Amino acid sequence: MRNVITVWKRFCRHRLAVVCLFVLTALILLALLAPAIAPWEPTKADLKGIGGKPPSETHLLGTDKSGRDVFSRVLYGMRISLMVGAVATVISTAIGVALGLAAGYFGGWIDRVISAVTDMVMSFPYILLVLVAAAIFEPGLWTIIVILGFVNWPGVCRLVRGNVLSLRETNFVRSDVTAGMPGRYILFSEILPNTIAPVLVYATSVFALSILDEAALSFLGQGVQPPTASLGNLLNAAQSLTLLTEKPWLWVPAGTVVIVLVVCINLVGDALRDAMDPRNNDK
Amino acid sequence: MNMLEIRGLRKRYRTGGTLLHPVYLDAVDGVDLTVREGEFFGVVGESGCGKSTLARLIMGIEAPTAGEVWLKGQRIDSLPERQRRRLRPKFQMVFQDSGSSLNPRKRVIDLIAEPMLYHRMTTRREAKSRVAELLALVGLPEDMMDRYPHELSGGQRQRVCLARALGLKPELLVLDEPVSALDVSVQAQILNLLRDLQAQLKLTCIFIGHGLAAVRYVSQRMGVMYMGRMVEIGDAQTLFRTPAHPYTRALVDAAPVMDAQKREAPRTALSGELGRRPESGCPLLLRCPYAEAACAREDGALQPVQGGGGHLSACMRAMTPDEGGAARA
Repeated sequence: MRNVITVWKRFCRHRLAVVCLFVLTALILLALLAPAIAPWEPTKADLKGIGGKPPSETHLLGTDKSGRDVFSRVLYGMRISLMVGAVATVISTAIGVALGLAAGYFGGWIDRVISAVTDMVMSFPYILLVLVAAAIFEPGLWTIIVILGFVNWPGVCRLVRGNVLSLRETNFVRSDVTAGMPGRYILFSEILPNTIAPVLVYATSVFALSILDEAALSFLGQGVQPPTASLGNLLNAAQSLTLLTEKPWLWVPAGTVVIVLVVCINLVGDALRDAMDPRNNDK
Repeated sequence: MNMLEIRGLRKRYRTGGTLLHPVYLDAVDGVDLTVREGEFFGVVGESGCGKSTLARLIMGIEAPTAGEVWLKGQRIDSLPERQRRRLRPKFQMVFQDSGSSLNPRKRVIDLIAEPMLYHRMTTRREAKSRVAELLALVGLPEDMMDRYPHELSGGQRQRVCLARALGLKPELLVLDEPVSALDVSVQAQILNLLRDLQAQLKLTCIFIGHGLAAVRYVSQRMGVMYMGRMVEIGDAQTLFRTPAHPYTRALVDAAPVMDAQKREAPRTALSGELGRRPESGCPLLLRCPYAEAACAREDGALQPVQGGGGHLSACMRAMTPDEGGAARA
């Protein structure tokens, strides 16, 4: 608890990050409360709005060509995008941390096998891999979550492995060995806590990346399938030049939300890295 | 009784070369050493002479290439780690760099208490008072308990490392350059503390250092290491006053003296750099001002020096008393 308070104090020193955290929290709340806030059903068409009407009193951000309320769809889309990002990040971080710890701590053939697999996954053209995977499995919400989760772990794995390797050579790990402490203590009480901060920071960028990837995949039609709204799906609606120039309310809100989400998450991650380092205590 | 016995200890590292013609370096090259119970034994030598490797081999952080390490009559270097772990509290180590020997994310109380708790040497309830006792023992106030390592000075951190090691009630304490990274004024405090603790707790200590003065100050007996070998072992004062090996003599002469006029004998200066190892014979061959043809056939084994008292030297060419050395028996 004491730790959480000191971390929070250090975090507050980054003004911009505090603002970002505030914005991020607001957006997450909006997404969570979408069913209560949204004035319209996200998948229901308003017959009067068919063809894509500009913003008005009844439709704050206008309607799309099927007559669905864009504001409501952005709210629900945010829900989907955030969930995809969060779950994919949890999956890839869990895989990456487990494999990275194992590779770094045990070394030998375990390390060689894990590192080889990591390099293989990393060397694949990333978007192609996702596209192929999306084509093989039925495209859909959970497919894309799992795919993104299994594609983003190598970075975490490498980060953790490198960290473990350097921590293993530190005197405090050596002095644990000489104190007769068992391997599990060294791994989980000494090495892991010193790895959490960089992993957490990396996870924030994976989170942001996953949101972008979901948007990209859905834009290409391989992600979340219509009529479910996601930020990428909404951008998908604006593929032609005429729509881009003449009906900006179709894509500007979704695009802005994606940018704001990604920027905020990254800035919060940066501030978190500084805040998690106990050596940054003094001003 | 002997606390520690080392027989023919060797550690070989590969330093380069090709797959077919690898180049090796013997960081520790056949060391025999006996440290008696309750003794403060010092090891000196230049940087890179293998003294820290020797410490790591004793502690079992690294496995020796050859040789044996015996602790109180039990061979410990060949034990599987699972069994050795139970013996580990008996021999503890303090590292040179106190900044990296403490986990930056843990408070002093946890750093000191965790090893004791694991080895069931204290209970959760008693841990706090036990840590306070240990802190008092190493001369730190009780309220240091809640600090993090980065909030302490180098000397304080080294005291915490010492307290952590002492918490396991060790019989043998290996100190690998414990004061080298500290300010001179702090060095003296820590050295005094070590001397007091050793006497008070009846510890056996092995103090490794490159500063001759510091090692002499705390040690009863000492050994001089050169290129992975012990070249001279003996009573600390004797070794200082009448070194039998040219290398020891050079070390003694190289130590600064307050009054240059009072320097008793001419300096024995070594030429060349550490690391040039002759193809055969005495390891000091290429740097020794007294080297002669016969030195190239010397095997560098320790031999008793005239005057006895367990004084051993690896130099075949006896340092005559007028050269400031002891004659060989």
